[in-house]
Amino acid sequence: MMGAALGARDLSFAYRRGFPPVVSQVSFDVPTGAVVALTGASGSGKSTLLYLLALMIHPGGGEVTWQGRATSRLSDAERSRLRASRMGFVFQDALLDPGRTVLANVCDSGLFAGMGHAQARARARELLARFDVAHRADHRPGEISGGQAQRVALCRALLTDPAVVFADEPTGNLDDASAGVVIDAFTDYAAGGGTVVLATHDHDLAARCDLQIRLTGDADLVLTDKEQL
Amino acid sequence: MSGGWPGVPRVGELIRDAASAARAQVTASLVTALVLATACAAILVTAGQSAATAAGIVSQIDSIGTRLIAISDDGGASGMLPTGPARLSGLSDVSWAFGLGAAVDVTNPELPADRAASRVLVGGLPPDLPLVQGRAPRPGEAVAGVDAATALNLRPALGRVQAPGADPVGVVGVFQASGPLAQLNDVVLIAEDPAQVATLRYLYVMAADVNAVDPLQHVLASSTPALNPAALTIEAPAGAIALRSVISGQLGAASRRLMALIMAVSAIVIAVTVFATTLGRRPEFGRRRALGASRSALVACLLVQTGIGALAGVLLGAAVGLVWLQASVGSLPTWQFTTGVAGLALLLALAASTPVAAAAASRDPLRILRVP
Repeated sequence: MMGAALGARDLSFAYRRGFPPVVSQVSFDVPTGAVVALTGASGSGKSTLLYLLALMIHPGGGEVTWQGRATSRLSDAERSRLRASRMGFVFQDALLDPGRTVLANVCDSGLFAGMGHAQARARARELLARFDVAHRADHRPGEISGGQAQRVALCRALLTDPAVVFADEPTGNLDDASAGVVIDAFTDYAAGGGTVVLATHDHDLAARCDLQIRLTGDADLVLTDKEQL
Repeated sequence: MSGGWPGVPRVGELIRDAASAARAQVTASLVTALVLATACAAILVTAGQSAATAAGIVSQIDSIGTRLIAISDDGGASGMLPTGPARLSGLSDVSWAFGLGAAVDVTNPELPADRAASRVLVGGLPPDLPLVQGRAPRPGEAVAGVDAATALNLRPALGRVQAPGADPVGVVGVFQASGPLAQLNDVVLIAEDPAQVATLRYLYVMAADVNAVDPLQHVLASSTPALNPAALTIEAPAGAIALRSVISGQLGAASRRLMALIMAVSAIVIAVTVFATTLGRRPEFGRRRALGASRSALVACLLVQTGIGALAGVLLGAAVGLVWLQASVGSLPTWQFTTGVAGLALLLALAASTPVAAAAASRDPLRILRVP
């Protein structure tokens, strides 16, 4: 593994002013090429921390660093540009557009990354073949299984060849076999130099990650690397 | 990666995506299209018909000469000079001017029993005296009004006319006037070089625009060359101009009020439709924010999508409205009115959608994406 892909410096967040913080002054680094799990009980703030790191929400205090650079002064457009070009997302229930085909869903992330139609479709077909769902390219999301849908979501996340993939409970709705495919995809991706940050309550999945950041529920966290597990 | 600008969709891809979204959200697209089609057709059939009627009435009023100013010297006391037509034609707001001399009876030398009035013409034959036979006269040649040509047996061979004690003049054409110049149809006009003419009795001036008639009247009072300008009589159709103004103003105001009402109702329906649609699309907006859509890119996506449905509706509505008008009334509003209504309806649809799209794009994506 190389340097930090991203990190948190005294990061804090509360959903409303005056409410207790969900995340309070936490600091850590996410190494490049690592699969990092954010774990903790429900309500411990792991999804919140994930979306803070992905620049989807502004922290109440502290800083998210992206490849060593502070991000708090970035405008909405600049943060969006960074997400479009350098980040990929996998959501718990895949969040595919039911009105479009599988292929069009995969190409969706290319739209905001400035990819051309032909380029996006070619790359999408390549990824669909890699994750064994190419035969479903012209189907609608309602016509495929949950495991296939999550693999399609994975293809969408990887379409722009991002530096970091964020995943929120990516195996939450999957059977063991489908979850295995997703986990393998993440480890392969990290082996190729990519970084994965995932929020999960799946202990098996977390155990396979290079680093666990466990949120304790009092807005604090504990870091554990693979060797310590 | 690509050569594009991350966070901002390419225009072609944006339109492609919006078209795809419009197909996926077929109900919302159809509602938008139908509302706009109904609004456009209703405006064209009601306000458009009023506009066409007003334009028709105004055109009829104009045909009786709302722009024509007549300067006369009936008794010959003013000594109106033949340089007048050339001088007045050069004024801004003047389309053309010509002058006529005193009336002199002429006969056809081949058939001298019949007579008709002739007048000297200075300043060339104006467009409102269109030729139905032959050509425009050069100095020393004549053209006859259709009635005069018949009275003097000049048709179809034309021939010559002759005043008592003067040489015969060749007739080279026949004209047929309408409107306020129709009285010249029973006159033979003999073109002359201004240098060969002593004075004129009438000078006709066509204003370029009906709104220029009033100020032009004052200019003509001081600019018409005459030995005694105070003896000139200047006449403009003030009554017709006032009637034209009243008709175009009142009918126009009624049309505009009706159009504003239809547009307002359409805007509300479109805004509600877009709002209802965006409510059901919250997960999509949250997902797209995560995928890198900026707020402005999301607004653009929604507006282009609404615009596609609206454009289809506007085209359909305009076509239905025009076909309806042609079939029922037989007249159509001007193309400026039609394209104006279509453009306004399109802008209205986008304006009504913008606040809704902006609100949807500003929603906190985390509330949508977080799974409890």
